[in-house]
Amino acid sequence: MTQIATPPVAPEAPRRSWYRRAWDVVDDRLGISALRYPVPEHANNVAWSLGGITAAMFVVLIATGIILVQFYNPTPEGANASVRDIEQHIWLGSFIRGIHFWAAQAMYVTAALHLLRVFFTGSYKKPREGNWLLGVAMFGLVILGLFTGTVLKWDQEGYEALGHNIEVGRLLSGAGVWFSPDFAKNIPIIVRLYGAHVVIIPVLIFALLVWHGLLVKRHRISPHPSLPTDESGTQASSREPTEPFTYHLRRVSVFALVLLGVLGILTVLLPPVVGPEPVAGIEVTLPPWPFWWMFTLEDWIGLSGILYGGAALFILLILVPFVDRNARRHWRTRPVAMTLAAVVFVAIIVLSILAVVLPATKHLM
Amino acid sequence: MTGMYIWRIPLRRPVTTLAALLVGVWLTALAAAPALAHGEGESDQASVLVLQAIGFITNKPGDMEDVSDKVDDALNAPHKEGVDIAQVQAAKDALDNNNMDQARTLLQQSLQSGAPMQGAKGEETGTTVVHNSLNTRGRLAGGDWVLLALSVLVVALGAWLAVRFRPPQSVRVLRRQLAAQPRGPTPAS
Repeated sequence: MTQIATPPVAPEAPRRSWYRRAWDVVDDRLGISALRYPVPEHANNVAWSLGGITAAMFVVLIATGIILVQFYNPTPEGANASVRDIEQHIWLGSFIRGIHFWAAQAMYVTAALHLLRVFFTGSYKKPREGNWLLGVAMFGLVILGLFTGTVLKWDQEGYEALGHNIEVGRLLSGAGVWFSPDFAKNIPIIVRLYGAHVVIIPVLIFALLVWHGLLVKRHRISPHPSLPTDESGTQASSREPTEPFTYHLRRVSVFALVLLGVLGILTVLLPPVVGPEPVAGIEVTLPPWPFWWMFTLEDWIGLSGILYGGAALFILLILVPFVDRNARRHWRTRPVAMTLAAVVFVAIIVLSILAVVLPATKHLM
Repeated sequence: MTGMYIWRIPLRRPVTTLAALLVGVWLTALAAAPALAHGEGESDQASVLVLQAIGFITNKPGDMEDVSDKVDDALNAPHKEGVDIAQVQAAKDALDNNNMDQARTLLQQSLQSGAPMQGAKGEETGTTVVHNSLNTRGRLAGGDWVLLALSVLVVALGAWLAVRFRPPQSVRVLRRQLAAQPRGPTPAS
């Protein structure tokens, strides 16, 4: 009897779920899995996720801002009324405006905390000095966004903020010309600030954010100061476990989700107020809280105090990586830097408290 | 030895140039800036002064002195176009009787014969009528309770996911694990 040889059967490939196959189709075309590059595990704690949370707040601001511009009237005669209309007559308008307001506060806070984290962990040191400068520039843009947003509601608080800004622009003479109403005499300045708020500032933040992210990818996540580094001292040790960057994104998204819920609670319990229509020639309001410390300086030395204070803070921030150039990253080994930072921080807190406690003087009249 | 210094001074030339430029800009601003407050003085338009009085009433309701000053200034202003002065006088009488609500109504009515700032340009306010602040705090309607509940749910969901997706090791555990391994690379600090 002859045996019939059976052809060899190829081992059957494991069946993949429809979800996996669909994902592969998308990934082949969009290259999403390129984001799965490894990052050191310490990058997934809250402190090292603050930059991502700030970016998430930016997304929330863009999303809510897109809705708000549909109903906002950026003219002096109509701005305040249109904000009231959003609050009272647009379905979910009050909630969306509240989320926008609180997300702006949150973005300022998380950006400041991110800046502090980077400072305290020495993450701005070589080779990441350029990325620190990008971060400082973005922080400045966040403050500008807060300022222009305050003006746009066109109530007494916003108008007085604008008045201070115009005067500071005049102090700067040529350098502050854009902030002067004389720059385009026939156009209400609120229209130009509206353009800055909805186009110029977000586009600049987005562009710098992309650059910031690409530099983080290029330089890689900075090492944790209490963990070993590689031999260069600028990267995490290869012995430290890693996780895909997508896990970091997932972690950031989850933190942002918690924060979004908190913003929702704040919006319901503490909705932002729309003040009375602005009247020129009186000065009766406090600026938004991030500017309180400058307000005290203004009380002491006049309008130029805003200029001195703001310029001093940003010049210090810009100089940080060029002056503090040693390789030490742990805060305990950097007493001079820590002392200076503490002095600046305490000064800002004390000046802010004084703005609320002490009687304000009039500056614009 | 890197351990012998904290601040590296003197700086390299590009850094010095950058710092000098920044300080130069700052000093220029300092030199250009007057130390005292800047302003354009009191208005001589009754319409503007009446609006300022209303602004004080709506923003600082208890500030009777500032309101009275502005009303007096409006009554004595050289340019009274667009203002019904009789109504302003009536508002002054109401203020003297501590009736702020009536004073405000009269002041607002005094402006209705001529809106002072139509077609605002530059930094003009465009304000002709001043309303009270729109403050809805402390008054939760049915929809607010739904949004509040949803927000709390979002916080709870996020917190649950944050715990579920937390990294396998904390920094403290990592520090202990890496210290236990044979030493190779140098510590960061």
